[in-house]
Amino acid sequence: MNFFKLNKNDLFVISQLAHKDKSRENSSNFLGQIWQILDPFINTFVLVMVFGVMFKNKRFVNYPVYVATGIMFYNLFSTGTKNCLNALSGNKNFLIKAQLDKTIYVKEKVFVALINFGYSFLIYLGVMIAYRVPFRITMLLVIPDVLLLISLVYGFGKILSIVNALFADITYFHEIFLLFIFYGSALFFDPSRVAPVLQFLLSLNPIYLSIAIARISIIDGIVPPYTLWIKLLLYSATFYWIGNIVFKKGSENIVAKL
Amino acid sequence: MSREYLNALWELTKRELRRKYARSYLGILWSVFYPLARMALVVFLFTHIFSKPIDRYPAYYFTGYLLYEFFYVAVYTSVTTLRDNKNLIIKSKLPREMFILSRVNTAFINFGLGCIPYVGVLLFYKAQPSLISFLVVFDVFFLWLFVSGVAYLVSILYVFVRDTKNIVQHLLSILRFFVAMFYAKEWVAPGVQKFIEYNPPYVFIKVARDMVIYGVMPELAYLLKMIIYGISFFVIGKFIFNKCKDNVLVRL
Repeated sequence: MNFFKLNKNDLFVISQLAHKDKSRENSSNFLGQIWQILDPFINTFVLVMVFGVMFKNKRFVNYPVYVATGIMFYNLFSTGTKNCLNALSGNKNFLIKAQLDKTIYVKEKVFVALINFGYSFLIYLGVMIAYRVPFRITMLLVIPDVLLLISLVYGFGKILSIVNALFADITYFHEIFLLFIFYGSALFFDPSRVAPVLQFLLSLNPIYLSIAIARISIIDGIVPPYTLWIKLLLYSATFYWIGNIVFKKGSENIVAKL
Repeated sequence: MSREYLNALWELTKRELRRKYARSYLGILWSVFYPLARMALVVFLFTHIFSKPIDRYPAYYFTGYLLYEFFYVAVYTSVTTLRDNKNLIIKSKLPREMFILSRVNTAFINFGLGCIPYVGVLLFYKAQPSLISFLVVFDVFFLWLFVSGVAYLVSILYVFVRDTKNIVQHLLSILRFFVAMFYAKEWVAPGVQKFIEYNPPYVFIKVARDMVIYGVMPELAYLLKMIIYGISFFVIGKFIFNKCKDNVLVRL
């Protein structure tokens, strides 16, 4: 937690902000969050129904779990970054009135996405049992995997929140970008089937890297190759670092620009 | 429909459009470029993944995307219409269905703008239009009826059940995968195929594809479904809306 420089007070503010967000989004809090937690599995179900036959392949030992793993990580990235878009522009009043460290608004958005991911993971364990994927010790490698992805989301989210305050069209660009990630992270198809250029692009996609690590350590039950880890680590560190710089510079007189 | 009615509807629609692009630099141009960018992306990614090719895939995808997006945007934005316009509904004597129609029409204008690059794609990929292609206006007309009907229903439902927004959003994103937007219907499991065939948005998409891209008459079954879905949803939606619209004020 020290990595994100959080203390007890910050956590309190975050939980309050998160609560405010939730009650604004859904009038009935509870069901709204249930939807978000179930979301990856609804998507998995749909994708398996539609593509289960189309992509029948001997390499897919366990297609539903394969898809569910991908979707979970994709969702963490997409909800995290999408929430961050409005971290500053959606908290205009707070920014004017409260003297809080501005990063807290971004942290809160990432935090909400992470909590939902955590709940979804409980269901994911159920899916693993249902499809007879054994629990192995390598599963624990998901923890550093998620941490790396989260610091990437955090850095990226910081950039997005600043950009969105100045240039609202970023929302559209981000939507296209997410679509690119959705189709370009091999969520429901076998990466070895796409054109070589795309395979190369895929190996550069940090979301895909985190998904691949999770799949290897959970479904295959082996330690993912270190090249994947290094690549993902490089991405996360870079985004975390750039996010910091951009946010520090951009958030100085952000209130005036909103 | 009187002239005043249409005028008011147009003013409301303009207001929605202005609001939609309020903070954007490119503004309404997004409606033209976004679908094109999306098509390019999907074509780039998917041309190699499927083992069998689809005839004139870019146009095939674009048709499905445009029609589904009209349905999606119209229904999704209609859900909260009554609450968003609460003040205006209380203060003015405008007919309440007008607010729903203004959102549907905003989505329709969005759709119309998306048709500009669509025509380019049709020409570029040498679609084979014939005289039958002009009949596509009927397809669009019945789609509009269908969409308006659904929009009426969800907007009323939202007043009574606040979770409608979440539910509708999820249903819409689920249905998106069952309209054979970027794959061919024949490639999926037989049970799923049946479901797609009866999925209303797919019916409109299928008819449009046959008419515009391939210049042939769709099977009679699809034409019938198109008419039945269009009329029945519109009639039911409007009926329920009219029945409930007076109760909504207290609940807003």
